[in-house]
Amino acid sequence: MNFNTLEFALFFPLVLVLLSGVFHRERARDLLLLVVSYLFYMAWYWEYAGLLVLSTLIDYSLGLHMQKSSDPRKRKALLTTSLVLNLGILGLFKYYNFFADMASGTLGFFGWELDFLRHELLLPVGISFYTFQSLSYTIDVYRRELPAEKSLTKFALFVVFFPQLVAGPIVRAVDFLPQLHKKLRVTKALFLQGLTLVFLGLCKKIFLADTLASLGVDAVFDDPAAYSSADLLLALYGYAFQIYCDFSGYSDIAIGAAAMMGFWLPPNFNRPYLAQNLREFWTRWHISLSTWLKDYLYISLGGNRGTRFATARNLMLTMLLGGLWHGAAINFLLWGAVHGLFLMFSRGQTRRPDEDAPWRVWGRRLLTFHLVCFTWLLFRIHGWEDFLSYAGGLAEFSGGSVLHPLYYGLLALAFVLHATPKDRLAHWWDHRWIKAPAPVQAGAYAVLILAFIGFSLDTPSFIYFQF
Amino acid sequence: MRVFSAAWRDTPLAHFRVPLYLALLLVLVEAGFEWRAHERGYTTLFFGQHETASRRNPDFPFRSLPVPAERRPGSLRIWLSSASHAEDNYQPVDKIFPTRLCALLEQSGQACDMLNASRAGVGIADNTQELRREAGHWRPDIAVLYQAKIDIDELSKTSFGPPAPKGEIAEPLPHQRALAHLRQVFEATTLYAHLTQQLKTRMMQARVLQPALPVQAEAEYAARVRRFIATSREQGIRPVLTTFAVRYGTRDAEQFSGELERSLLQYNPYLSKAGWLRSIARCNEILREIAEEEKVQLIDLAGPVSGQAALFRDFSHFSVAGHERMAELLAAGLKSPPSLSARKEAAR
Repeated sequence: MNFNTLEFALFFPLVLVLLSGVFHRERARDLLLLVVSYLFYMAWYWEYAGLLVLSTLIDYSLGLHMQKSSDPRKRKALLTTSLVLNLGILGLFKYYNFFADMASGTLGFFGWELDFLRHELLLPVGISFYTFQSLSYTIDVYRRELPAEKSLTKFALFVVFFPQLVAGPIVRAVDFLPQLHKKLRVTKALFLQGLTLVFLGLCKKIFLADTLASLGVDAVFDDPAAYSSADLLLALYGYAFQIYCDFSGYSDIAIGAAAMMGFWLPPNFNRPYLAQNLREFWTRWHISLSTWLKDYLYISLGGNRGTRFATARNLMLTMLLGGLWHGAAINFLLWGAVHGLFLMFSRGQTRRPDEDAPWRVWGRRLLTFHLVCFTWLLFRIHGWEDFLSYAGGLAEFSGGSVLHPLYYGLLALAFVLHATPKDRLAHWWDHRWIKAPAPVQAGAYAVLILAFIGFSLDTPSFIYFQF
Repeated sequence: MRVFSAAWRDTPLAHFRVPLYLALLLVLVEAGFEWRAHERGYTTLFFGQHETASRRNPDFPFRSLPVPAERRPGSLRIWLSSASHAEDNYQPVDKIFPTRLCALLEQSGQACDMLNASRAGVGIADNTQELRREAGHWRPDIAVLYQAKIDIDELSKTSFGPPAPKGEIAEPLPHQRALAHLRQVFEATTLYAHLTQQLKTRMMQARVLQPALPVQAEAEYAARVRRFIATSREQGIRPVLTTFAVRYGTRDAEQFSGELERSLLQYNPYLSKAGWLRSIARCNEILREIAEEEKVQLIDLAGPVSGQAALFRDFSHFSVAGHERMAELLAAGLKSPPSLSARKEAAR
């Protein structure tokens, strides 16, 4: 069930009404949220709910055993079991065909037919997100940073909590489970802030991400040879803002929907295209994934505690796996590798002070933005030929544009919205908007809903659902 | 009362005032638009059905004057396969070109029965199926095909739209059926109709639209026409092809109004104005080539009718004068020798 559909518009208010009926009864509340979260997930393919149950049961029982045990070897064995089983399921569904294709391609060169290795496996929605989320729990329990959760219902709800189940933010157990043990409270301000965030996310998704894709990005990426360099560049900028608005829009809706139910989810974006170098970019883009990779992978590999070579290797491995996390394809691997390379070279650079001359700050931002755009090209294309065609077209420096002026307007609007500081928006919400009379707020939301319907050209899914 | 309010305190429902106002506002706006639409004679969700001329009798599933299943001796029985262009529920049945065609033939001394099997939104594939299903019962002499626009819509979708899901489509589960029904209700609201007509199509105008159908789509169109011809012949019916007429000539893309473009984009969000004119011209070329190869009579309607704005009420639907002109051209074409010996040829 996508957030931008009629189904969700009916589902979510119903959940809020039902939740209110059991809000102060902890067990009933947890059980209700667990059931509706499974229903939400099963709206795609009910068959894959079994994988969620399996993942939940594995990590729940391993967590309890780890908690009880004081034997470091046994604890390590239990953690290894969790890693192998979780990553095994993820690997089977997400990467099996990728490696099977690589094997049959390589051995096919020597005349061995291995086509039988390939099997049509449907990728379960959100598997990368909930696997990482669940793994964070077992690793934290292993590191004794978190006590094991005794209630199966609460643990299962942590894994499957529907607002962030399929595309994040990746919530850590240490952030979420304690909330389930507290008395929840939804104040008027929290509820209305959540509602505003939901609408802000929908605006980003429908008005900006989907419309930029529909008005130019998709057409240009589908046939780059037919467009001028100017249009290719504009489509690349367009894709950069499309993916930002799509993904941060999803995160806003998830955070807002959770807030309306009394839960806090961590922020996932902080004006990433204003970063002055790639290291800073990764502290602003998909924050929940980048911190997960840093805390559970990069540091586990040794982080920056070893030699310069070891640090560079750890960085590169982390980014390669970060790339592969997005999808089983060479272009994601390359995307991770290029980010890894840039990060290796930018090590030692610290964030420059914003008090620097504005032209220097903006110069660095512009350079970083273009580096990121270049990597988005790798992320978006479907093959080496497409990449060469696109990059070759860009290098021709030909002018002229067939894109509609509305496309430029939306690109500019996306930039302004992206660059507006969150705290300024939050201040406006807290002090102005949520204090406006209810009919005024409702009227504005009604206008937005009507515009959503009018703007919904193809009702596409969120980009990060495929990961 | 206090116990009741305490139970809801700090719950999401305690702050539902804004969502409730929102729902109320949307219902009121919909009701207002529906009332306006109902007053103008449209069918609406709240105010019920509007009687349209599209109601067909199950015993006589055609949009033409009733004809008995038994043939009249000496009459020419014409089966017409088309879409809304020949069904035209906005005109009385005696004013649309299929009915006028038979009236003109009758005036010239040729007894005529019209079986107008045209249906809004139906393309050649469905026309062919219906012909195969019904022709044995109604035994027409000739089958006239007047189709291009709906097939262009369908082929644009398969060429430029999202790929169709792979594999077999599973039977929908009960909750999926319920959701599909809800979506249908939502799409039947007047607000939805207004927003898609006024806003969505304007957005689509800003898209990078396609300048032509791909070659594979043209080949598919040709294959559909050939299947129609083959089916007609299998049933002992003589097929007649007609070129497709539209409001603008091939070089008139500049005159194409934005409003008409939006009405086309509502059903086909892929083709540009020039793309439409080019595709119609290509379909007509294909019809000519097939008529030549298959030795099928072709009546050229595009030549004398296309580009004459007074004959159309939109891009491809006819005004009363347009229906009359179409009927004249078809009557003239069918009065030529091949049509009068239709039964003999079919029998042969």
